[in-house]
Amino acid sequence: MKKSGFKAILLLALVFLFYSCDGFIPDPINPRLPVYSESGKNQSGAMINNMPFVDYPNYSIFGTESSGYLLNQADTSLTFNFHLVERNKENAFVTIFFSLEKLTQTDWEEMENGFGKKFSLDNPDVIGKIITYSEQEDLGTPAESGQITVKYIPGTNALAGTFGFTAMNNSGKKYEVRFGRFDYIFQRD
Amino acid sequence: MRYKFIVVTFFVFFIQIPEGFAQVGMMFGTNYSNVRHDGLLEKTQGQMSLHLGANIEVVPIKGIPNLSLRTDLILVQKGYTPRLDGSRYRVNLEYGSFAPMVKYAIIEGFSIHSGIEFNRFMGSNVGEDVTFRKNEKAVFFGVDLFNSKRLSFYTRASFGLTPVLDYYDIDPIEGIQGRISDLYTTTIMLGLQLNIHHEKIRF
Repeated sequence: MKKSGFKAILLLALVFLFYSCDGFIPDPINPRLPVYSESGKNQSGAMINNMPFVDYPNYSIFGTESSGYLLNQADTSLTFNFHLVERNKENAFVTIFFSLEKLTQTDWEEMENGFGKKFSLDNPDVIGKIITYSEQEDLGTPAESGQITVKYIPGTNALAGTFGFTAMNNSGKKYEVRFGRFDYIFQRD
Repeated sequence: MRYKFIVVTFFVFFIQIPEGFAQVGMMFGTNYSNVRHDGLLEKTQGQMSLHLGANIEVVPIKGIPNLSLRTDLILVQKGYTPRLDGSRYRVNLEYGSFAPMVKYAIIEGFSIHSGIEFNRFMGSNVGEDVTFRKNEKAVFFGVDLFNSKRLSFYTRASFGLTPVLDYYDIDPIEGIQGRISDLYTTTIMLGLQLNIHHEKIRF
């Protein structure tokens, strides 16, 4: 009796140890992508050349894992790094990178209003690129045209928004990044 | 507020009947559901799910025994299944339903009914709480067979009158353009009802 009790406790401990929960909440229109949210869910996603790429948290006893991050320095710059994995293909991943420079107080105020502030990639202070990985090299391809919209939600300490752009690398491969969305916990410096 | 008013009004109406023939039943069955929309989704197909509920039926006018009023309280799962790149993604929408209706027995053992569903959104496997509207209204029409037996059969078709989705209109490149309200449910229910006959209810 004691032995079976011990086994049950051991089994429970193992289940607890390896317990992890998929934090992916699908979009109601395109369930391949995460839902657009503004509550700091630490998730992002986009259709890249018509394939779904996502980053979302995995909840486990070791914490919440999400590979994307946002940085800001001295309130005048913002850096976005979204490490996106192709759904159902764990070895296919890309990084979507954005850098916003020379931000002003007006920009931050506009980021709090409505659906946020749109930053065009035609602006020289706004850089966007897609970084692809292969065994030979990591290749960054700058965005040709498109935008990133950023909404700052101070109440939930979240930075959310949408993005979309096109890019073409030196060998002529074209990237179409569509229906991009992100929502991460963000602490303004 | 309006939802509460309708519920209270209906129960007050029942209380007005001092004593009468009432039938209480338990109902369960399967339902096929899908959504109608304005081109928002690419390809969708319907999905099968379940419902479970209870109802009470009274004959309010003694001179017209064929005419009755019935109210269903049902837990029902509606939804739709988008088909994208050859894969299916099931979207479940759970509702608690309050459905008052008028029922008329054409012949013994064959009745028709019609009414309005007031559905309260309870949860979904997609989106956030704010993605779907809290309330949905739908009109329905149905048929009951063998209603005088202990076990009867019913089928019902309901058509959403109000949209269930309240979400963002996201352009592929330009991002959010505004908000959209769309997706109207269509549900066909098939089920069995366990009747408790000739219950006298004193309110």
